[in-house]
Amino acid sequence: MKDKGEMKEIGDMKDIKNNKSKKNSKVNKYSKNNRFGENIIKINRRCMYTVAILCLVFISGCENKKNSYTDEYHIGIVETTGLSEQSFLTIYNDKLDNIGRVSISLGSLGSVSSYAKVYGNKVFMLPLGVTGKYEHSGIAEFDIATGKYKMHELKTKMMMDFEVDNKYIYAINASGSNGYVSGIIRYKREDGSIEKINRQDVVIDNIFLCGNKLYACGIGYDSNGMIYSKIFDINKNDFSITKEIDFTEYGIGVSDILCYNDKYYIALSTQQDEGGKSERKAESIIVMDSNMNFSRIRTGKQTSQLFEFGGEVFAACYDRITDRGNEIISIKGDAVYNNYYVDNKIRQVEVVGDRAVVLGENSIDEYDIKNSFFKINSTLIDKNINNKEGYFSTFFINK
Amino acid sequence: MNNKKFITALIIFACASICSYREAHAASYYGVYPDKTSSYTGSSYPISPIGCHATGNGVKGTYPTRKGVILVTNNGSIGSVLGHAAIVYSSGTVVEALSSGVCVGKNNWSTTKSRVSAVTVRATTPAQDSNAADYCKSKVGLNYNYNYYDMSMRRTFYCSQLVWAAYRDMYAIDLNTSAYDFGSKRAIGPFEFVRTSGKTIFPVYMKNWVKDDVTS
Repeated sequence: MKDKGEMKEIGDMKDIKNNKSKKNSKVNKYSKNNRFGENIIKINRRCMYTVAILCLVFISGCENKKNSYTDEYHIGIVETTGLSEQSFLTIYNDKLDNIGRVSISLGSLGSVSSYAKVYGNKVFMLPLGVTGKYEHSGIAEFDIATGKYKMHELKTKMMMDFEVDNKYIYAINASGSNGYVSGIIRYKREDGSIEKINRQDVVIDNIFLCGNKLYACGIGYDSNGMIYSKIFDINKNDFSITKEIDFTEYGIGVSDILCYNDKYYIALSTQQDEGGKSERKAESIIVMDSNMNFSRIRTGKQTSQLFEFGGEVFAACYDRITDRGNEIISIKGDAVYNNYYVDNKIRQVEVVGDRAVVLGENSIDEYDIKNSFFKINSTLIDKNINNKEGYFSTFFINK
Repeated sequence: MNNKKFITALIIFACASICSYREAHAASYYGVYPDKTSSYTGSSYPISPIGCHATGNGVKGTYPTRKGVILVTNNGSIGSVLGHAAIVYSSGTVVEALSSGVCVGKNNWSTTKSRVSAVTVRATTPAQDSNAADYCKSKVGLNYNYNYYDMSMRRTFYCSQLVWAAYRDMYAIDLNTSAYDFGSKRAIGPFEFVRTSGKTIFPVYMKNWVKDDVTS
């Protein structure tokens, strides 16, 4: 049960500094100026080349140890593909200048359905592998400072979502075993031990860590073909389901949960239609208080992510299924207070300081939240996977 | 006013005719149709196409969230089966057979696959499509079938066999073509679901789809 992941080098840092080529040219000039006869020149040249190579090795070693890029490290954007074990982490500074790139030999790393999670100076991401050829069964943990990663082997394939806290990685999947459809997995980061809760009746497709609470959300169809939706309240201490909330009346799919001011804001992706036999887009956020009282906020838009800033709750209006939406709304009380439009699809939004950083289809943009989401910076993301098969799946901020 | 209406009708008729003609005669185009509504009773030819999908370029139609719509991509391969197929289970999930077995995955192909086609079976109602998705979901946990010519196998499945078996077993609809058949041995590839366009299925969404891929 105890499987410790091994630390692996991610790959080469490229384009960080151009010092290497400059120093190399200086060495060459020096060697050209030494003329003591052909043999001596040959020997000297060999010596110089050897010294130059040693210098380069030394310089590159210093660079890795020094990690000069981490001083400027602001945003890491993941480009990946489902066709090969290949991903790139492109690093940008706070001016959105490209300052480095890391090659990662993992396929399908992160997605709009499973963002990168930052905990301390570690970044966690879900690599699904190469479609149909090799499916990974663990979560990758990246060290922001050193550019190395290790795999936490959860022994669970086709995971759909995960969460991380100081001790554990929690993940969910629906690939079935021993008659069960879904599993909620708890993996201890320290020793790699695994616990699992199995469910036969529902397809659990999302998991959320909200403060001290852990929620898993699932859907199912009863014998009459009627949709139902459940939220599982999981006790983090003994890893057991303490409560099952039938949420069908309010919605089917949960896209995000935010805990703020002792209330849970639940963004819904779909809700039932036609007497419970089909779904339609949910255009509401549900607020649940500590006494399990629910109220509904009509948003008029599909919401994907919730965040809090300056005492206000905001929701990104983006449809993860159809890949549409470029609006952010603010909520006050039980109503939408304001609408803001950004320039691109909001595939992911993260808040740093008073800025909202938005990952679009091909760009990363920064907006001033205090100034009505006024755009203050933007850059087209450099593509490393040259054909159409690469896509930007997620990003994280080095806060 | 009447002239304007007449001209508009004429343009719509011309567009529809061109689309139908292209679908029938040109190798590079598909007609893309609106998805079924709850009143769709099956078998009848669907309403006019909402447009043509030009080879390998752009998006036509709305990405499907309806339970029972078949998804096909030419991204990747499993063994010698080119591409991949799945069936929508809920708006946010799909049922698919991967090398690790039959499982439920996220319905996020619009952002993770560069080329996608979504099709639906012409003869079935939305309720029947929903039942086909339930059939596939009931197979979750079963292993991958590496014997592509053993389509009668029901203890293991490969991606397109899983979808094919749902319609074959429940409604006696055979979505197989001769594309991958070898003598008396029969196999079904994901592209065959799109290849039967106009006869057994109709596309409701296409993204960067290349018609030549069907025969590759």
